[in-house]
Amino acid sequence: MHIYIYDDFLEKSRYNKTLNKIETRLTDLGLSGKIVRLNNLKNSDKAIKEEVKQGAKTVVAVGGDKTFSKVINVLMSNDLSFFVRNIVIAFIPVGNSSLAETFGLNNYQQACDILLARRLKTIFLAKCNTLYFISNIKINGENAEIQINENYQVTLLRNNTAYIINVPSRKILDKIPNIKEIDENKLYLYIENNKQDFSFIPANKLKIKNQKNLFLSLDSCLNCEESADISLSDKQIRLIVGKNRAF
Amino acid sequence: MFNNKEKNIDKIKDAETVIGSSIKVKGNFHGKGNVIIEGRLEGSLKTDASLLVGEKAKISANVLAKDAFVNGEIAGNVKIEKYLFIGKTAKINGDVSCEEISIEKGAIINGTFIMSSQITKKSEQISEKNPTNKK
Repeated sequence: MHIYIYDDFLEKSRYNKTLNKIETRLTDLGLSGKIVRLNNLKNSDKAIKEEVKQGAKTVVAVGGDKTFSKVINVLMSNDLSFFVRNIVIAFIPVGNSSLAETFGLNNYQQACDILLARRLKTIFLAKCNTLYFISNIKINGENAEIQINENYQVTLLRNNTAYIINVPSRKILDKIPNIKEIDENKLYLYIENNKQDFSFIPANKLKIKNQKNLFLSLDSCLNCEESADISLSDKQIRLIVGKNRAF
Repeated sequence: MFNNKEKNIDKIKDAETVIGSSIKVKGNFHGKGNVIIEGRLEGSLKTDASLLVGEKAKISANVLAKDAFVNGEIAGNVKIEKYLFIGKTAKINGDVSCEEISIEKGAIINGTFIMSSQITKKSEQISEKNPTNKK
């Protein structure tokens, strides 16, 4: 059974056409299912959990990166750990989405077809304090100090942009041609300051100390402004991906 | 890798770690794959594979690696298991040990050299000539 989680922004009238097209395509493909709308966060958490407990086999997030992250974080709740093992997660992007590109989904039409193809990839989620993320954390913070594996510390010297990567996006992969390979059992600290200079450091555990003007953005949406402990979690998801995925 | 050793200095492929010129690393860095250092590092540096130290790199650490191509500054002892290349822009303040070495004109080195393979080979030869010396 498929469950479709619609983000609340899709209630705006300008998305009516898009949703009609998605629903028509899903019906044509024989993939129609129950729709849960994320109107109220508490109620929608409860609704998702109930559907999963009642035997949903495929949970599809429909919306943006934030929608996908919300759904992942609800599914990783402790009370669902028994049920989530058998669940497959999918994404139908509406609007701009960096996760969609990473998963190999060019647009919502293609995402519907990929849902039918059901190509599965198992991915370990990473954790930042209590929040789960799938792709990366963007770090903004002057002179940010990042402790790696409790052995050494990296200080950003100039106005760098830093990312902690779990599943790399195509954009980042294109910038690191000399890197051997991405180890799926590791996180990576990627720092760039211009086209010529970058740093790329594998890590198991990272700690960002509390400091002024620190701002962390998880998967381009969930925000964290405290000091952060970041590591790979022991929780994994089975995700439906396209052929052109970045990983 | 590193068949044409000198030619490949600027072309290390398959790096596991790259420390760029815009960051500073402090502590004990221990890698398993190839490492490229273009920035600053203080503490200790160890890798089981190859190390490339860029022209602008500044390392204040004891360095251990399998092979190394040094073009920047190192303040500390450099212990290389196999091959060490020291480029013309390199500046090493510390003792150096390796099995094979190439040094370009212009490199500055303040420290003692120990060519580990020669020592091992000489002692093996002595042992072969004087088998009675063996315990």
